[in-house]
Amino acid sequence: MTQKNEEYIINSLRNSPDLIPSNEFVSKTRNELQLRARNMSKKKPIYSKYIISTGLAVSMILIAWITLFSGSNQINTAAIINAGQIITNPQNIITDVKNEPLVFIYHTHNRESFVPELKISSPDEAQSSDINKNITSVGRYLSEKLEELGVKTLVDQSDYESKPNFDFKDSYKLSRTTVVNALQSNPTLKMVFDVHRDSLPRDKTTVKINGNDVATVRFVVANSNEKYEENMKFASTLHDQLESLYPGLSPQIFLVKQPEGESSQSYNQDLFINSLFIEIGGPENSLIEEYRAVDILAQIIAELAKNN
Amino acid sequence: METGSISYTLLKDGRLDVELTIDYIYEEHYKTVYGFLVFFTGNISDAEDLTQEVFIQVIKSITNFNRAFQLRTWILSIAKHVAIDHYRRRKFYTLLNDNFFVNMVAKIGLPQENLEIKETNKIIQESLAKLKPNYRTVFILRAINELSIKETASILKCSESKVKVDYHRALAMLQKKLTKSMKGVMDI
Repeated sequence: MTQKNEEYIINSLRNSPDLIPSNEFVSKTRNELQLRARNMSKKKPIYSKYIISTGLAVSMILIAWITLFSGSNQINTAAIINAGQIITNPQNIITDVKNEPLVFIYHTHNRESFVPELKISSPDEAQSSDINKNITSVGRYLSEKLEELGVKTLVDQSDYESKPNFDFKDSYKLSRTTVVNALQSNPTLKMVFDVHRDSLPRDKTTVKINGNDVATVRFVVANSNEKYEENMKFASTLHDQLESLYPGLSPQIFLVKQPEGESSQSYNQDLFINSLFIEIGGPENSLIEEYRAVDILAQIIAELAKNN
Repeated sequence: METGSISYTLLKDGRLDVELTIDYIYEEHYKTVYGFLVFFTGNISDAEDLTQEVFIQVIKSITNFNRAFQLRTWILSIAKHVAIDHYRRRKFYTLLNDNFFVNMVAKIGLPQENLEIKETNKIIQESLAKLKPNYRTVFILRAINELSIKETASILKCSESKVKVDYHRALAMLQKKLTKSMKGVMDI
């Protein structure tokens, strides 16, 4: 009954290949659950209320239309927005990049990568240390776009996993040091972004915009820190702007609630008011789809950074 | 996303988006749930069926989930219920059946010299699946799912000291079973 015995048994079990479910089972179950969730939300008895209020709104619009325009004018409701046009007004582009950095980008899970880039088949294996194929390249592209728009940006390209005795659980502790250092040495920073990709399947991380597949942009906010309200406000501003331009591009703000105490994870958002965790796309998106999302996101970030 | 956090997605009107939420929950927790069940049941096809059952129950009751609790604790309590139910149903007709792990096929071809280790690992898994259900549960939650004593106690709805005692008993029984079945296989 030695410590060694206990360790041997536990290690043997933890390393058992049986612990990992087959990919086939994992995706089959995912689909089954989706189907059930969908059926369940359809059954919700909120229809009557919904139909009445919609009907009321429609008839009011109709009455207004008939009385105000006598039905002769056509209502131009469709405000069609083409990629980039709305916010890239030439007068908003400042070509001289100011010297003080305003934005800081880093990657806690820097090896998150993409199935199409790695030429593999399983999303679970989409991890790579190649900075031209992992999420680091998305952060770098964002910084390039921001600089083009006149916002000086710093990017951190640390590879945390290459550190000795790396434990995935400590990722946020490691990236925390990165953020603390950046904030200390650059007091002009206005925004801090931890760029990730999601782990959802492709249909949840892709939207069609003007005929192109574009990766979705999800903001993650943790409620377990003292800057939660400011973070949430910042996330809402970005989310609302993205959604008003391209509905579906930013499906929701993802609120992570955690019990208080030592284990609570704040994603470093307690360090700074405008600090956000952004998930751009998922493992099944290509870098081109990621970059398309960044093109739009960069414009909104640049606007805010310059005006605040 | 980091595992162990509580994650849920709200629609704009504040209602829960079940479809997206279950996606996140599933991605974050399927490995934990499956791992627990594969060691509890001792066979892959049961573990697959029960894993699906656990998440279906999660969908059904997610809107009632009390957000003051940790999500993982709640999901594992469901998994424990599902596992115990399954055990009771099966007990009647497989009491004398020792076919644990018969369906398990090694996923990676191992070289000849590893066969001995593989055999030992198989014996450990078999012995674990033969422990009494309550010992099995405590041992899996603590040793494999790496839960704290506190979290294990709240899943099993018992005191923390009972968790400690049961864990040590489970370990002792496991070691005893191993010594018996591994004479000649390895020196333990």
